[in-house]
Amino acid sequence: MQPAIELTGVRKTYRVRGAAPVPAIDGVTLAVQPGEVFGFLGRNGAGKTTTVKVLLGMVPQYEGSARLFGIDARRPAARFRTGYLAETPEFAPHATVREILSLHARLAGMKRGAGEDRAEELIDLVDLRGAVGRRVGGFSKGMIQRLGVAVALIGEPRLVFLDEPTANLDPVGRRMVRDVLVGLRNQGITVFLSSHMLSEVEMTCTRVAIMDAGRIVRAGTVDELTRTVHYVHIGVTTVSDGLLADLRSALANVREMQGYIVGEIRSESDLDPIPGIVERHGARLRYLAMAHETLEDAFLRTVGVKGASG
Amino acid sequence: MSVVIALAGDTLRSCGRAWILVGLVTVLALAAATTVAVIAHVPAEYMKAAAGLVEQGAVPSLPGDTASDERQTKAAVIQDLTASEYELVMKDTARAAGLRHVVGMGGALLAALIGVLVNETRSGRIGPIVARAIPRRTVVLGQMVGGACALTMATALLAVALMLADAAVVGRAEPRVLPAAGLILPNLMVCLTLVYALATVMHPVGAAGVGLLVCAAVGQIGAIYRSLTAAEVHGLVVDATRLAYRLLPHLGDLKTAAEDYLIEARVHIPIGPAIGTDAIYTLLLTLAACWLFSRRQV
Repeated sequence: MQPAIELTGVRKTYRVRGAAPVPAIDGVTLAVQPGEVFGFLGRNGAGKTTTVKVLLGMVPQYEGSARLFGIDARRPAARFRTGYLAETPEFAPHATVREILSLHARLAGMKRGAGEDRAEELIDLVDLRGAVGRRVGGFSKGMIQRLGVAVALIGEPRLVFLDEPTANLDPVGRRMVRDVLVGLRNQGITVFLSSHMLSEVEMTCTRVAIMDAGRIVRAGTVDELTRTVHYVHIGVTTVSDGLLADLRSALANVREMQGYIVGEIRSESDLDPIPGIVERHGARLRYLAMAHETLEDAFLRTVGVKGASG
Repeated sequence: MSVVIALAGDTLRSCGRAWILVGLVTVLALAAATTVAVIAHVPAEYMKAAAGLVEQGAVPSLPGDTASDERQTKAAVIQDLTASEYELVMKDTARAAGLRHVVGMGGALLAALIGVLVNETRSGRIGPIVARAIPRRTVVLGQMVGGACALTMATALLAVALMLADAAVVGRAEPRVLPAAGLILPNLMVCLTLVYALATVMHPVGAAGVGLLVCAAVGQIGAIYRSLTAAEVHGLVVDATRLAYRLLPHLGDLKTAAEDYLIEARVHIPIGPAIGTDAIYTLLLTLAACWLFSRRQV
């Protein structure tokens, strides 16, 4: 099957006056299949937005190959039925919600009637019915973000790029975006989601890639990324230095937290010696709980940030 | 085509709602009224004194004058006029000045402002538009068409304001202001496209400043060429100026033409070629804007 998104060795370098060229993305290769909800993670400045812009033809000059449904991303035809929500969406302040949606419906090639119907549907979906006649200049950041979501979805897209869709949104708005993502996934629409809200990515994405310093450093399903490391939470009556030393010989990364001990295990059999070690040091085992690594832990560990813990 | 129309409509709507543009049109309309009112109420005796100065060569020229013998002739004619005839001349001069400075210079300001307003290629608003399956040249064309419509409407509004001011002060509206303003419009389109193209690659305020300066400089080339041809200067200078005159838009000719149309002076001006040249330059600048935008990251 033709991948919805295909990047092969894409490299984009920015020239800075008086300094060496800075690579924003450095040899990125990835493929997203139709129907996938693909999470694209990375620190600020990792190259996520540049990658999205390369795919949307917003960056004309780069090395390598970027294709949407097999068509060179530089060609307008590649963006047929593609939606895009920018990191900080902006709209003409004098226009109303209906005017903006109507314009984008026409730019997406929709007939007037179909565009109007779709606009009304989306106004309800993003909960902007109460502000439909108001000018966008008076909107809050959250309302503009909601409008951005509606604009991204107006052309009945088969591929949607969402760059930080929950930025500026309150919990209700975030829930709305999550529902939209689930809806898109259920309809088989491909979604390329760049986000810092890892809990949402974990809940909605089928596959994830982590980018650092312009390179893809890890990619796989959420399970593949989070199930490589498990944590064990050990509740004991008394914690002694001897107990911690013995646990460190049996487990990796053992730390004392407030009232319990945390360590990393690779498999369930690593739990077997723990009750004996606790008993040997005269303490009583109150509980032994195993937890998976969260996506946030996996992300922090991948990009080399200290403090990733269970 | 429907995408161009949609973008043009959106651009035109944005221009209509931009308070800065509406404000500038209002200010220029008031300036038109003030110009006409002030000049038309200058006592005729001042005009007689002015005519004397023209005769002595202290005053450079009246609109349309170039050679000194023409000035002398005109001064002599003015000296022979009666007081009421002076007033009539004053009113005609007021109309010419109003057209030249308000519709001409004000129009250039409007063109620069519209060029900056409609160019969204450097704003965050362009992202969702460029992300659609449309070529970038279509985006530029849509915005340019919208800008051209806005400029035409704004210039027409100015001309109407000038006519109303004329009617209020002189007692009758001068309908020829409208075709005269229409004659200036090709100049203004060149200015608009120049500012738009510049705003694609530089800060909008800088683009407006540079665009206006270039238009003003280019606008003088016709007059410089004519004065150099009349004066005894080195042939090489004349040739160089002639070359520049041929290459650059004949902005000066159109301004003179507009005034002459108004005051009904019979001067042979290459209006057709000048409009044609303006159209070619508008087209070339639009193509340049398309090319610059297609190479830019948004």
